Amino acid sequence: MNCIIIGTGKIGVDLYIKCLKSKNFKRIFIFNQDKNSEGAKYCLKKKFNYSSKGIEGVIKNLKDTKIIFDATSAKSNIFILKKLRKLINNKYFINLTPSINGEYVIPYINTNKIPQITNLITCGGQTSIPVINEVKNILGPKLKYVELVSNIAAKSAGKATRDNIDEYITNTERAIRKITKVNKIKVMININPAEPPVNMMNSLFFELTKDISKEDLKKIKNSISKINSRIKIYMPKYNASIFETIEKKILRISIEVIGHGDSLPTYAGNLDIMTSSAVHLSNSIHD
Amino acid sequence: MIKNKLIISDVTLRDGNHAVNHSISREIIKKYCEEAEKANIKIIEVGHGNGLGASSLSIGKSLITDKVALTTARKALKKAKLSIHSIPGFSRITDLQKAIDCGVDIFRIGTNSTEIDTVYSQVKFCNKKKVEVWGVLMMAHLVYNKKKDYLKKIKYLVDLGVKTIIIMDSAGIFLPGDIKEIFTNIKKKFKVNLGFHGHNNFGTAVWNSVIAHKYGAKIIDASIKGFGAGAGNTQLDILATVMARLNMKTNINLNRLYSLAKVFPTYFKKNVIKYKNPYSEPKNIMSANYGLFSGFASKVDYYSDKLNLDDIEAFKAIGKKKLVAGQEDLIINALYNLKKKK
Repeated sequence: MNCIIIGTGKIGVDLYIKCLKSKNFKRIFIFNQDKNSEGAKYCLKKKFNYSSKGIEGVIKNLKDTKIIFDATSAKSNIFILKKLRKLINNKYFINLTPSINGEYVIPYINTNKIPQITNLITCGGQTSIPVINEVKNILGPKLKYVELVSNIAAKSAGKATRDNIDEYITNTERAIRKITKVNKIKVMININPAEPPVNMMNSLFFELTKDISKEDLKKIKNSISKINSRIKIYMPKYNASIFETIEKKILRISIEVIGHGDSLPTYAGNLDIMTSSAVHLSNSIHD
Repeated sequence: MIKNKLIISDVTLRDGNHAVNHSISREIIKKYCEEAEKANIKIIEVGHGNGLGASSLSIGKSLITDKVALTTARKALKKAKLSIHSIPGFSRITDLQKAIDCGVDIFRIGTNSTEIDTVYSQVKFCNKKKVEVWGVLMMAHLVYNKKKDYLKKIKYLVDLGVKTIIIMDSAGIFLPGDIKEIFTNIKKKFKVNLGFHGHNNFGTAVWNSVIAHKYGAKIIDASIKGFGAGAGNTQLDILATVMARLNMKTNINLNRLYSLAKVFPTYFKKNVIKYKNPYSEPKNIMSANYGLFSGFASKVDYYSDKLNLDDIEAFKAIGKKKLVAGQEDLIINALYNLKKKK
């Protein structure tokens, strides 16, 4: 089948390479609207099937396309979908921006059914929701509050991320509420300028109504290893681990995400989990 | 000697929250605001130590909500302006709207200086709402280098339409010579109001502030008795006195200020967290030397105590990790690894 990638930022370019590697696609087309951008120059240098004709170019090439990946920004996504919505009835649209368009999908959770318009939430969402969901299922009403702090390397945060921090937080929280049904949550993000850059690291805090029991802790440990092994299928260096509890009413789980190192450096696990999830999903779509 | 107009901005009720694990109560806010106004303080900043929306398990839960804190201060203040600190990533646009509704006058939007472009959407929002917005370069030492990266960050803010910029020495690492160089160079290139926010790890906060003012800072942040993160802030009572000695008019009533300084610790008597005068302990000196965020001190204390680790060893471990303000959640990871190695 054929696909179109919109956007030549860090995500778009990495997606192109992962699509090439997946061997699912006969033709991959990548579009943006500024042929002088860094990403466009990279596409030309690497001899990608690239065009700067923007959304009009995309529309002209929709005919034999099965999947459209949107790797632009939250604001552009709204504009793009306005233009495309009526033209893509028998196609799949995978939204990698933090806008709220589309149905939320986490490959770990929704494996068999892919909505026509998919929202991949955010890197923090892709990383943490499988864990939050399992812990919620085990603790039930004993779970009072969940907090997620994602730490990403400054070099992995492009312009779209920096301009869209509010959309990032809002969309991540909305998705956590919708998928896990935990209502009291808080999402925060930190950009770390350290050199050498740090790997993407997430801290999850689960506040309980009473001290955590040994049985629950054991169940959670088991489900963490299940999550690790299943996510490792598409994200080989995803690693969630429990911290020995200091406060008995607070459970802490950290998740480190190291990327494949295709076009992105391995520390940019935050971007890599988005492109890896997108390509992993496309494996279950056929012509 | 000094000709610039000087405005002292009192950050006691915001940065001071770091010193008492964000437990400043509604009563303390009320009493403090009333007394500070009598001393003729012009700007009062209120909130969680890390600003708007930052109350959390990872950084520390506030005793009261932002809304309660801000409405209490608003009610107590008749003349003084009410200001807030906001870090995108902790706070969001809806928090800013709430603060507007509470009657906040000054919106100080800040991030670690290297990532200043993340203030974009919040500054745009404030401009749209026509509220007074300032830019804050936190951890400013991260962009103080031979390439003068701070000038690029200032330009970014100026281009966004920000008219007042605070240079924040979050780590307490700057010396008077650094301050002179930074302010001179910014003044040469930009027509913008400048301010300085000091921390006292090296015992230089007051003098850094005097130098900042001499070389162009119109606004100086300070807190009563230096009450603030880590080794504390520029001590307001000393600063106001020294400025008076230098013939710099601040209009602050010194007698009122001294009474406030004397009575301030008693505000905390009923509080769970014991009031402690900020003091530069060896760990604070080391923290500054590593260029770490002053606010880490209380977290490092808490976890090194729980894990039975030496606090100096603990600071060394997080110093190596190069954590920046906001990464309180990773302190425990670093200390766990340290514990494992033992």
